Amino acid sequence: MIRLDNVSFTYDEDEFPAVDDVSLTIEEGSFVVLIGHNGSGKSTLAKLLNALLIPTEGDVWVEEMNTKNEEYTWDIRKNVGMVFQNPDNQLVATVVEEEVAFGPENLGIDPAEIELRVTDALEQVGMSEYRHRPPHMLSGGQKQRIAIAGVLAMQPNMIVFDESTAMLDPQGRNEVLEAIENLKEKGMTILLITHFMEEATVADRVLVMDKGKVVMDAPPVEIFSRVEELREYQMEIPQVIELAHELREQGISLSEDILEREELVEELCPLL
Amino acid sequence: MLRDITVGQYYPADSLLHRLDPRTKLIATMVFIIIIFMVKTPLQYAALGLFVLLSIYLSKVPVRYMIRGLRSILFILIFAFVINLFFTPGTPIFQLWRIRITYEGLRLASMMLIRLVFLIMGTSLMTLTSSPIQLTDGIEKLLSVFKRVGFPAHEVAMMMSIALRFIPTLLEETDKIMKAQMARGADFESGRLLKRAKALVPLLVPLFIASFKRADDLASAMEARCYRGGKGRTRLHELRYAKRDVVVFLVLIVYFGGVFLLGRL
Amino acid sequence: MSITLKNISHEYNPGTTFATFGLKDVSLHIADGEAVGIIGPTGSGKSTLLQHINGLLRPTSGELEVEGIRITSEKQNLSELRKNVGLVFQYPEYQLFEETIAKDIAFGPLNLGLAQEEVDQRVKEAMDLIGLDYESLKDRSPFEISGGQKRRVAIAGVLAMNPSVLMLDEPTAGLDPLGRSQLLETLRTLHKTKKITLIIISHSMEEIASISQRIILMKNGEIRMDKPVEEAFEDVEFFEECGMDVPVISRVMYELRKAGKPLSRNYASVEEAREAILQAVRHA
Repeated sequence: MIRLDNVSFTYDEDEFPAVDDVSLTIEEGSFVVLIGHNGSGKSTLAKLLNALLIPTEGDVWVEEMNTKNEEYTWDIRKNVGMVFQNPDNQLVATVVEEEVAFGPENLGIDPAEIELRVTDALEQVGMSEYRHRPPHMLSGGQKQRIAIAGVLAMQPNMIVFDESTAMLDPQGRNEVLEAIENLKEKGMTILLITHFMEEATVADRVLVMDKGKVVMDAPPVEIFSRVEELREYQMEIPQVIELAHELREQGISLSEDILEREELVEELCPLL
Repeated sequence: MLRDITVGQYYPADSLLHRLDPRTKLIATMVFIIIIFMVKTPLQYAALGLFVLLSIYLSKVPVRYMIRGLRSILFILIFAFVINLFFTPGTPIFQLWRIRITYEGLRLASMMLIRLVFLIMGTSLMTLTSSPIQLTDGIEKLLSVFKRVGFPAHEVAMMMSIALRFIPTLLEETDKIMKAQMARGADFESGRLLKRAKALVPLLVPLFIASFKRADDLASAMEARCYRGGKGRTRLHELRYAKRDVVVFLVLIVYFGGVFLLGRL
Repeated sequence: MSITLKNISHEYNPGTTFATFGLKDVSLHIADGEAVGIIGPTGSGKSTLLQHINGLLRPTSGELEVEGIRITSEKQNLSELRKNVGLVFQYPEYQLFEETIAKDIAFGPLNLGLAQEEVDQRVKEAMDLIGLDYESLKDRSPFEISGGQKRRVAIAGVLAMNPSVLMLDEPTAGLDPLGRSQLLETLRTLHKTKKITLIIISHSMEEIASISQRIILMKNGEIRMDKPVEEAFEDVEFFEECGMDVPVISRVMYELRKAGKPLSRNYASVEEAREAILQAVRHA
């Protein structure tokens, strides 16, 4: 569990805070999607969760450990794994298995145990057959899956995805999202930061950030029913939801909780 | 063209040479290099040649692959050969106008050529049969002797392995930026030296900026995965001397000792 | 002036074991002022195609005629061609290098050998067209502005060469939704007012549907489909076969039609779909 108490973060003394008085709790096993524009503070928020940044005001608690306490830094980072945006800039090693082993090696884990963890982590992201390949020959989606395996091998309680799908092609995005959903099934706590609204429909809970503040916090069905509000924050509304919304406005009776294409088609069929 | 350079590349295979401890290979290569420059007689060269051929055979690296590596430095080889051939004073065996080839020149040029070929073959065999990780691990272990006098063995090895990791990425990036600037009318190919050097600015500035960004990202990613230097770090594959390493060492001592003695005959 | 490709093939690493075809026997004609969207999976030859059209790559066989210039596998001077055909690469902000935005945009025109006055004029025009304020931005460093603005500066750097054809490889990749929709709007306006020929590669079907008049689908170096946008998304099975998706709205329309509903086409835009569905509901 992660708790933020009135957290603010300012990069430069005289600038606006990148994160502005945010309080929230992320429950064990939940799947939270965080959405916002570039510069809304979402990546800063992510870095506050594993002590890559320390709040200028307020406290971040990870499993009852305050990120301000340097004694806990390594425990916190082991607990909250992080996958970043650029697949090329986060891979350290020249062979896939060495890449996955990098985290456990830093934790000083016994080689035999690392071996087991690497095998297991690669299996979980479906990359076992690439174990001895150099990562730079892989596709973007595969590189990100290796990065996920690298985090899994540290056996964290939670994984933060900081726009990990932003630079991928549709196929790569699907691969990574599938891997994320698999982790969710297994009970992993997940925070997915993205600016693709469609990725939010499968979440337990959606947070919308604007100018450093969390301005919306609700389950996806509720978030997407507040179309006008989303437009105000200049968020993109998934086209299926937009179509359903516009049809409702024209007096067609469709339920408010349509999120996916299949649901829209199913409700429209009897009306035509 | 960049693809042809085999020095520093890894050729995955399962062979005796691949299984050797990288430290064994590093030391053997160093000794080999020293010996190349000590031998003098044709018999000794033949013995070293046999050694190179045997090693290639044992490494399971295709001979064609090794020769392709030589091709990329063909220019250097020819240059070294020609310089020695024409500019060594001694007994002339051929003379045309001012060009003169001497017996000593021919001898020296051939020796130089053979030495260079052996040198390239020997070092590329080492890199072809050891992954970059193994090599840097080996270097780290060998250098850690100097740790006591404050030498940062782990940091040096880590920097080396990261540099190796990013070479392909940087090459790709260079190609991309070059094309993008060419699309804006940049000309990297013609003009005099100074103009050419100036033309590189639109390529180098973006490359530097991108590299700094990469370095920054990588540092975050490493920190997030609990990297805090070499202290307390374990390795997935710990280096361990095996029986075969001892055997190889013994064989090498005998063989190189033999080569040495050949010179005294 | 127009673009004609005749049986273009391009082989990477010819003669080696790595030899692969980037393009296979591609023939194509693009008329003046068209807006063409190119789609296809990664590695299908889209970028290779664009690089042929402005001469960065030469065909292994076949020939092109672009804006009156013939390109074959022979070596030739192509600066005249690059003047007319602008190519904006993926993540073009990585090519910025000058101290100020104005200087960076001037790089292309200066390479064309234009006089300083003309260059300044071009820079101003290009910034105008792409929606960057000349006065407030010209002396700022291109490294201090936001990601979306950087991308605009990079595109302006190509526009300042005054091309009659503008090609963009994934122009909106990595931008946030706001940056994306603003840039698309700018490109649409550019196409309309400047009558510039637009060729765009994108992975987003919705985006491609919203900006192109004609859609080309590539796979394994070949053109597999070439249709006006209105007809492009009719054959959903074909897209699936190519490992692609149609725009999500077209998919909704397709599924409704498959269920026997009286709808005439797989519209791609929300507005068209809404009108079509409303009409069908009223008839039912």
